[in-house]
Amino acid sequence: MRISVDLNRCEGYGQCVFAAPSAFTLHGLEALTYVPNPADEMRDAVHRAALACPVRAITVGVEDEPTRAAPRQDRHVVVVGASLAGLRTAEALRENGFAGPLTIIGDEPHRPYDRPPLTKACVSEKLAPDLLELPVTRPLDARFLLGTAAVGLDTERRSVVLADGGTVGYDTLVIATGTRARPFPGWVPEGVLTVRTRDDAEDLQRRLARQPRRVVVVGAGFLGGELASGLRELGLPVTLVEAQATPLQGPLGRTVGDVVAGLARSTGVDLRLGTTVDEFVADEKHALRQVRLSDGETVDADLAVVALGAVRNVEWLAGSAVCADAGGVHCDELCRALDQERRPLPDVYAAGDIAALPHPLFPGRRLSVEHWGSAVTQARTVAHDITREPGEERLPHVELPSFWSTQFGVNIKGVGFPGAADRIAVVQGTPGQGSFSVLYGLGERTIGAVTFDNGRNLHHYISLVREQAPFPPGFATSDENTSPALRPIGC
Amino acid sequence: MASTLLKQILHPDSRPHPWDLYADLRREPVSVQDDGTHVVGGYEEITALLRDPRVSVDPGKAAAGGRIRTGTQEPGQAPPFLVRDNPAHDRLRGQAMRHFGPPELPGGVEGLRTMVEDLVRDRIDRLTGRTEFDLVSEVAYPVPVLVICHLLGIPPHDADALAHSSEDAVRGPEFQVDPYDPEVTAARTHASQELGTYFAAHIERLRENPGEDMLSRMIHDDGPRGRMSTPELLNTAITLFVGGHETTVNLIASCMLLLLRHPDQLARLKADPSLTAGAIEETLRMEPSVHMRARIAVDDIRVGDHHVIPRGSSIILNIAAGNRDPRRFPDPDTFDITRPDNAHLSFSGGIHYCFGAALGRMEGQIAVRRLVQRLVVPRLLQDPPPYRVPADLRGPSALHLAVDDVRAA
Ligand SMILES: Cc1cc2nc3c(=O)[nH]c(=O)nc-3n(C[C@H](O)[C@H](O)[C@H](O)COP(=O)(O)OP(=O)(O)OC[C@H]3O[C@@H](n4cnc5c(N)ncnc54)[C@H](O)[C@@H]3O)c2cc1C
Ligand code: HEM
Ligand code: SF4
Repeated sequence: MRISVDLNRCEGYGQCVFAAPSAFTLHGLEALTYVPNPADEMRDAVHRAALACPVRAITVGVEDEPTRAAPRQDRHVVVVGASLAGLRTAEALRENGFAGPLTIIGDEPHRPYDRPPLTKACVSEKLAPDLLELPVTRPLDARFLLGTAAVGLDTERRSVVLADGGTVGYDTLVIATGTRARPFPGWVPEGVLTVRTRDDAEDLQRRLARQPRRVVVVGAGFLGGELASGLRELGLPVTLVEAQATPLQGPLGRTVGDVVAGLARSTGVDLRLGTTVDEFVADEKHALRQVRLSDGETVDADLAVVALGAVRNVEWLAGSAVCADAGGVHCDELCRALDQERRPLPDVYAAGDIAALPHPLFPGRRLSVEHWGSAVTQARTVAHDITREPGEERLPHVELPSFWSTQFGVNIKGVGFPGAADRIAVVQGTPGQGSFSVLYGLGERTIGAVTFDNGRNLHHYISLVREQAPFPPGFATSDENTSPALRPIGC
Repeated sequence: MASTLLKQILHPDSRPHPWDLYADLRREPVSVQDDGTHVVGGYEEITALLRDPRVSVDPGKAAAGGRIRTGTQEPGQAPPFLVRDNPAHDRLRGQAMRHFGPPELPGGVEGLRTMVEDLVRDRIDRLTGRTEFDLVSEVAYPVPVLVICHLLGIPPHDADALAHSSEDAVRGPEFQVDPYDPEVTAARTHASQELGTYFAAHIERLRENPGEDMLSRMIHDDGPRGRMSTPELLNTAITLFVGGHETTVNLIASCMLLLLRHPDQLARLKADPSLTAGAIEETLRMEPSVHMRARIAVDDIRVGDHHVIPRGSSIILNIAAGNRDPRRFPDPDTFDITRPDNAHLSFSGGIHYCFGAALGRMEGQIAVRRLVQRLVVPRLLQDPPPYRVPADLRGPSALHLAVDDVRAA
């Protein structure tokens, strides 16, 4: 059986752990990991766990068997990109009653799988990446063309060109080609990896099994922090190199970054802030031997993981009518892809990491959000618009971005646009002393919130962001250790 | 306009059928009472308030003269984490959870399964040969009491006296028609003292002669959060004892009551015992063991578009009303043991989410599963049944059944 947990919804109550302790594990106060494919004899316990979850975060999948019903004469929907956004779009289409032919094209050889564990449980708990296939809650009855890249698009003829020269015609197209790991800007020897895919994670696991002397992680963003944390749990010496003054400074600001820096150091990470990699040094067999840093030091290491963010997979759209650039596929609020004149293209949609959407909080701007939750909510927007009956209400995508990350024993959850803020206010607890919550402000309004092991209060902060509550906030909380503080984001 | 709806709800006459009053409650996001109490009965509103950092559980933060009385705690005492805000709450709860559940003891409750099965089998065995009995006094009551005694190292023969005190001790002032009722106050104080005396001596016994139980481990173990002080141990133990059985009794009795009122659902469950977990969840939603909880606003809190709960106000969250909110649950008054999406509020939410929910669920599932399996043609002899006095811990005080036979296990 296959399960997945929506870790944005999860509030860490641990009821699933109580009910099925061999399938779910709680770390610290509220960070949850789980076995994505529990053995069949655990079906009863997992079923009880799913029922017990107070926020219904657990999905138990069904077999994706082809139903024998002949496809109804209906539009042919083609999804390019066989990952989270593509799968969830297909699932939502079926849920909405779409009964026509459905084709999902993916360049990876695997059925859609879940990426977040690749830098978490796949490192710290050695979870096998091939177990991560995402569950479906209903049979998709879809034709999967896997291991097949799309290399071109003709919106006039409505056809997708494949790498092998073939074409696939469509009536409705969903672009869900996501992102890939941003490569290191320079020469890399053998032993310098990135982690974006199942195959990457398997490669990393094989190399970790050979007990590297030291691992250098380049970039202390979400993924870099998670990797460093997992590697320390395995007992490996880790150097974490970050160009900015704190980890996560870009997305979450320095107040939060300082806390993460403290946590990283307390678990024994050799953290190098304000530092970059000048050069990877190889031995005579072209394998990594040393990493030369901008602070003048050289670190002996035989493994390095580069975690410098992601690049959008838009190249295959070059020359097509779709307006796409390094920022992603430009869309309207219904996830309809725009043409070069910024008009919605008929029957072309985008969802997930690839999509750049407007948001009511930032009129006039397009934002692409590389979070799990946005792939899911955008998939629903797309499916609704495709299956909408004439006259039925349109449902624009207005959901706030939300994310989680677990590192160094802490569950970090966030909502809104912390990276766009200019000030940060501590509203609950004291950063550096256990659980706390911060709000992010831009000018006079609240645009984001982050909780550290305080996900059970996030619900409230979401509503503050949604209503753009006045900033700085002035409310009192029941937490007796709250030291309210207001700081500029960058120092 | 100030209302007296809460007083009507709290009145013993409303016990068998409070649902129409709850529907009245849901007409507005907040129903303001003549004594200044703010009562909330909508699902979304309750969900939000349970997770609102401006909401406290500490009676000391209530404005004087309100329904939630300040200074109800005896001086020199360490209040239990049920009524503590953070950071004390998380520390105390963590110190106890360490010996009960995740993260430190993920299999803690599953490890009690055999013991619970044995207890349930024994209680049902005792019914053999009888054709009429009170399910509450024979099964629903003794099972949870004996389980929590086991957990706290209390000899079973002390259980009855303790359970008796517990009943008066849980009569919280905020859930009395008159929160200042001297008779109830006196009974509560007396009962609390009795529990206090017993547990103080019991803790000293376990300090000298530790057992394998959770309380012994709490007394002796040096966890990463340090040791609890003696007053903290005392109040944690009492809360676990009280919280561990007063609620679960209602769950077992209410589930059997609902099943007997809905023979179609009972038949489905008989045919497919794997539906038991769903039957328990649906019981928790429709007939929750805890109907309401109290909170205090530590700041002005806007609820909906027009209502502001002023700082210091007493708030009553009527989770039983929220569980039947038609805006959240389709056909909320229909008992459907296979209801999908049953995210009821019956174990609360936010940081005070029930500590023992997994144990309560397991006891309920095992008891109901075995009762359904072993009682032959069970029938209700009295419907509605008599109810226990408290409005918050609402449940049948007796459930008189007739059966043709009791099958062997
Ligand atoms: C290691 C890791 C950890 C993460 N952790 C978190 C987390 O903790 N919290 C969180 O909120 N988010 C997390 N994320 C982000 C989250 O996984 C992504 O937001 C999500 O995967 C986006 O899904 P997607 O379907 O839009 O894109 P992707 O998952 O990138 O999928 C796109 C798919 O399209 C394929 N493709 C690309 N080009 C073509 C082509 N031309 N033809 C055919 N197929 C193509 C790609 O190979 C890929 O399979 C994490 C991501 C990674 C990599
Ligand atoms: C069906 C059974 C049960 C029900 C319906 C139930 C219900 C509840 C509810 C509603 C609360 C929340 C109080 C609030 O938010 O103010 C709660 C808290 C609590 N319950 Fe339970 N309970 C049950 C079983 C148990 C058991 C078996 C135990 C002990 C092992 C237990 C111990 C506690 C404790 C200690 C708290 C306080 C939690 C905190 O403040 O963090 N409960 N329970
Ligand atoms: S919220 Fe649900 S998924 Fe998360 S830990 Fe609790 S029971 Fe498990």
